[in-house]
Amino acid sequence: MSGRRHVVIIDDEPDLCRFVESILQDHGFETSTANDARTGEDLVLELRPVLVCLDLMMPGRSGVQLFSRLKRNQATRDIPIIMITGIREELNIDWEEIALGLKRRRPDGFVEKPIDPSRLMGLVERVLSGEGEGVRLG
Amino acid sequence: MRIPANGRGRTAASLFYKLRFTDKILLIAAALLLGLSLAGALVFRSALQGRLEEAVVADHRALISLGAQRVVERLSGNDESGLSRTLTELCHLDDGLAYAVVRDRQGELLAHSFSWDPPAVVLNAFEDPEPLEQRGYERISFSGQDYLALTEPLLLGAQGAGELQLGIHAERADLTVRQLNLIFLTVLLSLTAIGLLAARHFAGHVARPVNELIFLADEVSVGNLDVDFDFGVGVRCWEIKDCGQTACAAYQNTSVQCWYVDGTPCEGYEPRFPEKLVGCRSCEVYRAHKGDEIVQLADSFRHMTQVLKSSRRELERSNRFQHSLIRDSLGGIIATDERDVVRVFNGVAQRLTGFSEGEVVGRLRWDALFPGELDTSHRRGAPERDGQSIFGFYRRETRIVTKAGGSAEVLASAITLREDGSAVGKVFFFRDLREIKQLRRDLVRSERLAAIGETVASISHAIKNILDGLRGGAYIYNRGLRLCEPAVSEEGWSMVERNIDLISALVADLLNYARERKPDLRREDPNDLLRDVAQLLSGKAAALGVELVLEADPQAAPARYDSHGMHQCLTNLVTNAIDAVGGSEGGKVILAASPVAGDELELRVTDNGPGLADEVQEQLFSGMTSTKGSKGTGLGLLVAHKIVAEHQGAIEAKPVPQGGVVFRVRIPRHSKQCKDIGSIA
Repeated sequence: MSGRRHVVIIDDEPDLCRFVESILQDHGFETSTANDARTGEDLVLELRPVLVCLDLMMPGRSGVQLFSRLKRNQATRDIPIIMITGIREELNIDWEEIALGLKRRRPDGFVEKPIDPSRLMGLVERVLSGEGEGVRLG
Repeated sequence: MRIPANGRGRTAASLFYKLRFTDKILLIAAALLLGLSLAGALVFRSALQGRLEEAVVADHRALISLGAQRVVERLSGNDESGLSRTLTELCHLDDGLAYAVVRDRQGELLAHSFSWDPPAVVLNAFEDPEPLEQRGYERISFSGQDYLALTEPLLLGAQGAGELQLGIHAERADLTVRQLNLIFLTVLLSLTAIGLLAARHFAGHVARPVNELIFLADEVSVGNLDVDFDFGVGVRCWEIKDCGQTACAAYQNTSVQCWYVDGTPCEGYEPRFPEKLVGCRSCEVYRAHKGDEIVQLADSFRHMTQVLKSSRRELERSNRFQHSLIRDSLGGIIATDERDVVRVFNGVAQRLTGFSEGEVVGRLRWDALFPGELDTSHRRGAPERDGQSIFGFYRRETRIVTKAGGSAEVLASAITLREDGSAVGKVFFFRDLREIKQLRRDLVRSERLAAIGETVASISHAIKNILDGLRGGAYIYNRGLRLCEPAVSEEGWSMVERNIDLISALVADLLNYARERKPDLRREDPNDLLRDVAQLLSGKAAALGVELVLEADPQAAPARYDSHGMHQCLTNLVTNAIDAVGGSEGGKVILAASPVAGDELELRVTDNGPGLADEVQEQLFSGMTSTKGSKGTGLGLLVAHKIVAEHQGAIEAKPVPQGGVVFRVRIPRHSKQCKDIGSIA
């Protein structure tokens, strides 16, 4: 593993993975992608990235479930997570309840589709500098 | 009551029964007292007269002995001529003597004191064969006077010579008897009067509570149950039973008998009066107080009124409940009696029609309010009993007359009320149909808005994904140019092309779903349809590691369908199935066709994926439902459903026992007409 910062992108849509991957690579990040939650979880556990970009809606194990699993895991709980989402899905999820169970607030950031590269990178920089939304409770 | 057949007796009996209770007692008492008085007087007179006559006779015994002595002297001196003078002198010795007669042993008349011949009754007296010494006296009458005849035997030595008969005026004894009788009758009449006064008092005492009970019964009969009695006094039960239960409801309550007080312990009974009275009657307190029959009658009467009160309270409570139920009902209620006259007209009915209760109840018949229901055809299908049609209908849209002169649409049901097999009225239940229709319109509108919102959100979500693909493709294409890496640019361009295809497919689905289209029915081989779809999607299946199996049925006869539409339908179903099992190990999709009973063609798409949750299955064809995460819109299923419906067929999704889902499409094999199901626009 090189010294570059590593980001794992998890989305069931390969085109979107490739799009986000390209943006991050252009900004000096090393990236890895997965098209389902199970593979993505393995990647995160293996690579211990500095950031995870996670699609909210995926068939099978959804992004919400993977978010909960990563935040419960001692090894991955401090890795910031940016949820890739549409407004509709976010409105239907009670993040406060999920976060309360995890002793954390909401995910560190949300990036809404269609993805704007500059806004995505602004969010990534803020999250990595500790200015994200997911402030630890207690 | 037995009435004598005799007319006079019937009249007397009728008059007697018409008398008041007090008068009857007085009449009976008076009759008894008078009868007793008269009987007493007769007995008294009879006994007194005998004794007085004997006394008079005894007074004259000495005289008759003297007379007999003088007569014997005359006879012994054979001075028969002086015999008559002796008798006359004898009669002058006492004013009471009326006559004297002497007869010999043979009964022949020897002498007498009469101025004329002695009456036969004198001569015939004492003709019975009794010995002379045993004879007493005999009462005889002649010339309008009563006499007491005495006899005395005449003895010459030891030999009887005849007899002397003296007649004494009986009036001396009779006068005394009459005087004593008068005194006796006076006393008896006084006693009778006193007796009648006592009887009157007694009758009044007996009749007063009876009259009061009559008054109370009249009050009860007109519905006034708040009546009470003052018979007897309150029972000091705590003293009788030496009781110290100060918490008892009857303790030191002398205003009312303890068994009337609810909650008083009474031989183990503590409930309300009507329930405990039987137990109370065996209590020593009750027995000590129960009094005479009148008091017991009053108790029974009070018991009756208490039970009536209790029943009336229950009835009133029940009536209030029913009244509230009818009044506060959310629907209109109209009820009639057996003559069809309205008796119940609740608040909803009043608000809906504008009529007040007073304008309808007791004034209108039901058919004045529901004129449309007079048509006998409305009774068709009504249940029948004993061969007679019973009026009634269920959830019929009809009209009710309003006060404004119009009518209002209602959804009404009606039943006939029956009691012991006879109709006793009708009840109509109805809802304001305008309200129901408005609610339906609101519901349809809200469902339509929800469906539109769901559709727009789903489509916009799909478009966002495609936009990401296009934007990503363009970004990567430019990145390739910037880095001078043609391979990267080609990758980006292929992304653009792929997403252009996706948006084309989305638009096609949208058009298929929204467009009003008449299917082009042609006779086709369903196996060809399966093969075309399988060929089209074999590449996608292979890319996702899914085994796509085609089970063509050589027996599947040709059928009439729109090949383009059914191709779209099956493509959508198979695509969904491949997506459901894609990426999972052993993913398999089976595409099959077979004829089924009823001359239908069945097309099946079966997968061995995770299946469908119940809530998803319920609304599978009613909205844009997808289990494919960000990639699904649910539009494909709606399109498939619409195409099947256009063929007058049916589509269903059922779980497979081994896991997965099977979609079954059934369409008529010889369909000639297609159903126009419109569009979503």
